Amino acid sequence: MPPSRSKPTPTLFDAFDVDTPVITEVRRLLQNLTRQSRNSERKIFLMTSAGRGEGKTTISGLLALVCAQVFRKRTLLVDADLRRPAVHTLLGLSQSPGLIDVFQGKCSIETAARSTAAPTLWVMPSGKSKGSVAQAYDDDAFSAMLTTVRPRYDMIFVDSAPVVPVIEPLLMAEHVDGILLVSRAGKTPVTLIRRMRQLVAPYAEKIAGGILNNASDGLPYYYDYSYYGYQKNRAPRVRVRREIGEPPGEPAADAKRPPGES
Amino acid sequence: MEPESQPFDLRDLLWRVRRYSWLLVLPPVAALCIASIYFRLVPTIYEAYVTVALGDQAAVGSAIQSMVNTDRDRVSARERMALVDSKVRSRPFLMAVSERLGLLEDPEIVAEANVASRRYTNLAPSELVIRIATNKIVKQIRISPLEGSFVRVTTFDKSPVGAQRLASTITDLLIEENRRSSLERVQARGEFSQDQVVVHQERLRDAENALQSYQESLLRRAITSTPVTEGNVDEARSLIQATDQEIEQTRDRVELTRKEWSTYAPGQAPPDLGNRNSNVLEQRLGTQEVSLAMATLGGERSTRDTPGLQANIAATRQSLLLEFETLAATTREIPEAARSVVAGLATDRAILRSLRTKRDRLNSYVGQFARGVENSPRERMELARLQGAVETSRDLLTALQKEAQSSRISEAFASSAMASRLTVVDPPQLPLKPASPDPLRIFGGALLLVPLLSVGLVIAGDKFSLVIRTVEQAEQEMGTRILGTVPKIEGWIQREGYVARHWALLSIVLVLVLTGVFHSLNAALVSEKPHRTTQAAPTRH
Repeated sequence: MPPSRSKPTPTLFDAFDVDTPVITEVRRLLQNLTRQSRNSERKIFLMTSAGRGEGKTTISGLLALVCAQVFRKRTLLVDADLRRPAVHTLLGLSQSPGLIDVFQGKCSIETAARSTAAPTLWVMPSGKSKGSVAQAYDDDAFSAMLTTVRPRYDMIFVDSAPVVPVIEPLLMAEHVDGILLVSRAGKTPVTLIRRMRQLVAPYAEKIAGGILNNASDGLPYYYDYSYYGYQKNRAPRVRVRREIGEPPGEPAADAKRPPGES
Repeated sequence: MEPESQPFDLRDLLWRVRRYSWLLVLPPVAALCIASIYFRLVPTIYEAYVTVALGDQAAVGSAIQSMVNTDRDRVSARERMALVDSKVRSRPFLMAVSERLGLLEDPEIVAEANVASRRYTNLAPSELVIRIATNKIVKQIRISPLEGSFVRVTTFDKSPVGAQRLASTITDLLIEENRRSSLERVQARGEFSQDQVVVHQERLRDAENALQSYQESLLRRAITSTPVTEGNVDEARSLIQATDQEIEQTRDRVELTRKEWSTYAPGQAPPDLGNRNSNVLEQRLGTQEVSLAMATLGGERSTRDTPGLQANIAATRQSLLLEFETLAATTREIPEAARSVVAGLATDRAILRSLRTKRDRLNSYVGQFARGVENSPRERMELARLQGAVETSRDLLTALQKEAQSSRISEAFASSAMASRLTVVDPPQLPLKPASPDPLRIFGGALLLVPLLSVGLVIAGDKFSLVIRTVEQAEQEMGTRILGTVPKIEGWIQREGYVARHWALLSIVLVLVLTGVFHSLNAALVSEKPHRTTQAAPTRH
């Protein structure tokens, strides 16, 4: 495929800056999650929300990136939103091979979990489904996949579909250690959140906590970092950049093999 | 469960306003663009006005104010305005205006009437022309009250000359109409005054006659009036008592004399002496007794005459005695020894009659005085009433005569322009600037009101939408702890499209572009169109 002449789509790597308020908040979030997991041995977290467009994928990507880049943990991000996959776009990867290919046995887990520009971050995109997504999802295969990857990574984030309109997140919830509920401040209707709470009630013991997205727009002024003047006098950025000449979406040449891979 | 109500936080409000800055800018920009389009599309209207004063200069005298004044002269400013308004909007008046402005021959109106005549077959085209013309004019007139008796007549037209001409025509017609009605009113008032003068002349005559007869009757009574007054009534009463005592004494003396006579002629009545001379003396004695009584009641001056009158009475009594002695001497039936007794008896009888006359006269005078005292207030009141009636009739007659004179003068004035009830205070001027559209009102309103409205809408939308707004609310609704709040990623192009993220800004740009396109097209169209004059048809005079 010839390289596109158009400007490459910016990825989450381009926006990654440890000094920005968003990364600060994600670090704080991850710190809470780590402390919570220290006692309960949780390492697989399912990200879901009540509806679409609430920021599950972005927050999943940020969590995985910060976990790998800042906390230097071996981290796997699985795109389990088979209906509206976006992790590959977010991180500049190709959609296949991925989770569906694993379900269908077309490729191994090691092949599907691809390395990224961040040395300790691996990403398993959704893969492409030709038929029905509901039929494409294999709960046993998903469980087996998680069992396989669990010892290889320090932290695994599973980005899933919203819980109210789709059934898969509830099926996946059976196999994960914790559930993170994402909602968007100033946008998510209260009634939708109440419905989500009813649906995830059977897995109440697995709910690790909630994440409120869009805090600067939807919450009062004291949730916005620019109010404290940290936007203007910020320190020089530390960017994670791909090497020059490497096409976007492809793993780095010197990316190390995933843990446990022979 | 609803979140707890938070106290008002100005800082949070300002933060939200800043956050929705583009959204806040959009309505004012859109409003300004719409205002500019409206300003361009709406035809310019010029306004001319005339201020008139309403007042009755042919005033009525105060004496007949209540008779000739009507409620029409005591109306309030608003009622005056309503009078003018009803007058101006009346069909005859509007027809006259249309005729003067030449609208009844206006080709556009005639054409419109021809079209309308196909739908309204029962109406003649000329009637439709009148209706269309009057409907057009009535929409161009506004009557508004000012302070006092002033009324403003405002006219609108697409051309300044047309507005001024319409105002002038209305003013001229109003003045003419008013002059005519004023003249009619003054003439009616003059006729009324003349009729009233005749009636009141008759009334005055009757009143004067009644007064004169009453005064004459009083005068007659005054001539025969009693000498007894409030000052001497007590003295008169004591004089009556004294007279009564004297009568009693005289009567006792008569009885004694009568007994003495019976010794001379037992069983016979004493003879009744008298002749012409004695009668004259007895009548004189009575008059003298009355005069003495009047002199006694007459005050100091009359009291000085009393001794003389008493001497006269004594002399008359003596003369009577001598006369009766002479008569007794010549009478054979009377024994010689009894002649002096009979003469004394006759004298006493004459004295007794004179005293009775005196007493009766005094009683009569005292009675008259008492009746006069009793009737005095009624007489005075009647007199005052008659005098008042005469005065009133005379005043009214004078006023009516003046009114008649004034009406004749007013009539003369009304035929000229001097006594008009309607006067033009401020004649219509040629308007230099259009009255509408008012750029200050349109753009000022767009700049002042719309931002407030948009702020209110944003705050209301933010306040009343049922979404997650606080961490506490999120924790409560989710039933779990919020581990973190993730702000917006600066510089991160989200999955939402450019339009979705910048719809407010794009809307502003779109509105500005569309407005610019409209103005460009409009300017191009206007420059291509031939210039159309909007002046009305020339006024016919």
